Amino acid sequence: MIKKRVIISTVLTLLAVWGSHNYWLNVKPIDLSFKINGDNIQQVEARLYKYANENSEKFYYHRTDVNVKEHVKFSFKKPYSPKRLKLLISLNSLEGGGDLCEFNLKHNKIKLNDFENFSAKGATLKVKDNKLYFSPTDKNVLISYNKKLKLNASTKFDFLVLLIIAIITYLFAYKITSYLADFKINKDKSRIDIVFLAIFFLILFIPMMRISNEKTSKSENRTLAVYKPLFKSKGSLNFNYGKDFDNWFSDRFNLREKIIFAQHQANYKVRSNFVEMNNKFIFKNNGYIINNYAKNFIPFTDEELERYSRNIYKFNKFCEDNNIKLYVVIPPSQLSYNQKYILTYRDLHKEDRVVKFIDYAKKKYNLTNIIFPENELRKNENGELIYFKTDHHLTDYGSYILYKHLINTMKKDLPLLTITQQKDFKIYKRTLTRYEYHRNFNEGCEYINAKIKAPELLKTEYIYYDYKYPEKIKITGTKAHKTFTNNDGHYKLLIMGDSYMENLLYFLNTSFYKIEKYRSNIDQLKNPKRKSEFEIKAYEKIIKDYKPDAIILIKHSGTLDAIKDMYPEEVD
Amino acid sequence: MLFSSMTFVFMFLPVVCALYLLSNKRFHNPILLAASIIFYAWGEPKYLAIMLLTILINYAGAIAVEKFNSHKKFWLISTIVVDLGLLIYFKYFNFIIDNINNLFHAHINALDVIMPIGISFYTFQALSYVIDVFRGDCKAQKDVYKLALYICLFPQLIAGPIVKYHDVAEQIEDREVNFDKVNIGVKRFIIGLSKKMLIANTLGAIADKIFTQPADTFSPLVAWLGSISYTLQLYYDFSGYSDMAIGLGLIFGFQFMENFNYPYISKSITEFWRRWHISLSTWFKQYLYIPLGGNRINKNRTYINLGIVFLLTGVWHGASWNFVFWGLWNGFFIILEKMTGWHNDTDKVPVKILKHIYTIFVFVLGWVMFRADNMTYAWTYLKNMFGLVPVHDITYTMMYYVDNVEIVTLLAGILCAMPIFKNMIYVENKAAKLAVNVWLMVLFILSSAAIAASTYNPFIYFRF
Repeated sequence: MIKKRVIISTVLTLLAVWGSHNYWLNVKPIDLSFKINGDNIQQVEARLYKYANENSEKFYYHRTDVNVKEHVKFSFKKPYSPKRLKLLISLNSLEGGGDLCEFNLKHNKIKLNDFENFSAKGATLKVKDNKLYFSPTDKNVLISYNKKLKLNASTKFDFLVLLIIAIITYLFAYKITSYLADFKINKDKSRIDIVFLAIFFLILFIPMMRISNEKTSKSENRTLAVYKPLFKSKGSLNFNYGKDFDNWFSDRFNLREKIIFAQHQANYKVRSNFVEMNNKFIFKNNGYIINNYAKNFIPFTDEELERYSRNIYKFNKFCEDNNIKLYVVIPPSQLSYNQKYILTYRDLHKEDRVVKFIDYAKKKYNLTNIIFPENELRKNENGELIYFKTDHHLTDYGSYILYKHLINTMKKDLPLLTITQQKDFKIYKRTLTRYEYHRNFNEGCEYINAKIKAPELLKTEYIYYDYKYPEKIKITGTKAHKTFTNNDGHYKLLIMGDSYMENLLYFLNTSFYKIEKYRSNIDQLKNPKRKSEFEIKAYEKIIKDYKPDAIILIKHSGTLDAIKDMYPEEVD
Repeated sequence: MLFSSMTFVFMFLPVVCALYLLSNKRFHNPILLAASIIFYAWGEPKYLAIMLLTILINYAGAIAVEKFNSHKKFWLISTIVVDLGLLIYFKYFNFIIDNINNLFHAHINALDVIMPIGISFYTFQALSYVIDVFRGDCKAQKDVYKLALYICLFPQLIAGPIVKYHDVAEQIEDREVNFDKVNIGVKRFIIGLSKKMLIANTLGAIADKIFTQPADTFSPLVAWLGSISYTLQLYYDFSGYSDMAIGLGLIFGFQFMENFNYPYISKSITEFWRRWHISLSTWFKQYLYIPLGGNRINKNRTYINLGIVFLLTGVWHGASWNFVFWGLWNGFFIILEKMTGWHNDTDKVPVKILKHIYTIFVFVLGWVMFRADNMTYAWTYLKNMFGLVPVHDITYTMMYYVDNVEIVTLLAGILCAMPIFKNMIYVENKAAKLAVNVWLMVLFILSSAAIAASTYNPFIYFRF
């Protein structure tokens, strides 16, 4: 007769084999690509349905923002055998419409050129010139492919891995089962405790059962730690092995993303109004998510005032010697600007330290080119939001005010500069945020970082500006270093600093002939090679070669201390 | 490696448990020793050398004490001097230099040394061993590996309890690993982990918010909130670590002494020290207070001995004047209680209540000294608690410090500091056992989720 422990071990082995199928059954994702074209398309969502039933809601999706005309590609890990395809297209307005073509599934193996088999909700369809045209009647258009899909994901079966997993698991399960069974037989232990211990030890093993091989974490906005071995390539010992291993394991353990999300979500739900999470404050009542820069409001010491001012003075001197105008722009941080909405604080020190710094630099070094636009922004609010609620950056509206203020200031030195008027922009409202130059909409970096799902925080509408003549601007380069050319503009500009430059640049490039952008606070900026964000020595050659008419150094008030290291030789 | 880290709970512990529990008994000590060395070397491998040196010195010292009977005092003192020398060098040298510089306006350079983790604990364990051998309470260990296992056994290596050699000498030689021990051990471990992750860390966040601000920039109410939060944080943090250590010890067949016995229900500071960090207070009692004469000579000598013990208890906790004053503060009240007989039991309820209130006051105020960065801060903070400093520049409202979760945790912290759920893991009734096991599993899952969530580290482009 077969022993009970053999049966239990076999069942456990089968479960383990099933649970580890990703290791022995390699499933290639199903690729879906198509071309989409339309002026008012915000976003397209591709859905692959698991079941053929028309009413089934079981689908997997990917979505992306669309910029006028794009070749869109998605890669679906699931479902393995999709039965239906649908596209959900979100539009800014009902004007115009768009077209779709070149549908490919599974690396061009399956082409969907039979456009007559497509139908739509929220639009009328027309087939012409091998393209599927849609004219919207609703801002959300759902286009369905009516025929049942006949495809399966490609798989690669690795028998040896399966065998190894099965044998090791069986031996391990048999040993554990015997161990527990012997306890039971010999000592008549409580089944409740046996089950309790079995669950406890099972939970201990779950995080190591699968190690993620992702390179980056989208919500954390960073590269994940890589495994660094105990022995280095030259045979020397890695004395940091423990810490390296901690970082690697902490970034990649099984179910990490899901557990963190569940923990954050629970934390968010159980708290009443104010939630503090990862150095962020979330206010449920008004939808603000704010970075806590409070420690950065400690007033500057006399030494710091002197050092910061002297650094700016030295940079200004360098610019003057090279016939360049320098402007230092310090936008207030979202935290200080929005204090009235943040009930947590009673009396924040506001921006006294920035004002004092500007006064000091003016008195001691006669510097009049430091711009702190708080009053300008407040004066022109007109009931609109200057900052996003779920992101710490300026809105398009706030950036446009800053842009106008900046151009008006710069005009004194660069008289040909003009302000691009509002009529040259298509102005509309949306509930999502955007600040990076790629102009993609999202929920806001603070919201994404908070790793929660709270649609109630995403209901605020912001004003957006889209330039009506984007074809005038030629853009090349990477996120860290970009070049903008506009033949209708005047003067050459170099801009360096943090992410507050991004929305501002969208307006500046309509006024300047050429702009070189250096996003100095990210490590993707490899050239110039520097030890600190604003190490000016590193930028000097670039500046001399480019010969700009003006330089803008932009740094928001919450992290102004980066100015300290502009001239490293000053380090004590 | 910390008990509350992902690597420990979900990599190190399951691997070591699997190896240990599924292996033959003769491999148990080697597996534990190897695991303990890896555990210690994980964070700062270079300081492993100091611990290994301590093991060798005490191994040789104890053998010398036993072998050269006529000179055994010499060998004992030599070993103690070396042990304490290492402790003083790594833990107190810079503090001493700092004070000499301040006192004599000298300019002696401080040493560039980092204190090896757990040095205070393993040095005291090593001292206990060599003194026990000197007293004839046990024989010198001839197997260096077994002595190494005693000194660096990972469950109690970095945060105690301080295990005396005579308590575990036999267990190192031979111990039984059985279902009951593993079962209770796992439950103690979960209780300890929950104390640390769910209560101590939540209350610690409140205390940190308050104690990192200048001591005159919040109201007296907030000052009390900070000191009470810290009082509970410290208890749940430290007793949580002790529970985890005792639980892990049980899983591996060891039975360590209890380190905490509901100290916050004490009616006097004397009683408090019988319930708080018991392994340290009994260490000082057995190896310092009694050898100094204890209470056997006369009253004045007893007071002096108590003063010395509590001064050194304070110093043991850290190289700072805060700890010196905190030790003296406790010593002062214990001497006062001895002089007045305040610590004696009474049947009168109002007096009992009064004694509770007095004790709570003394230890809460004492913990302010313990937590503060320096005595100036502690003094201002204490004055603020009683409304004796002008408060200015209040930045945060009360909402910043406590929300419903913190309030519930504070209440739970106060409730669980009393012996209400004392023997819940030992219940035999099936329904009660099921309820306790389910509850412990929920706590374990919540604690695990908190550990997992602590690895979340979003990067925002505001720092280069």
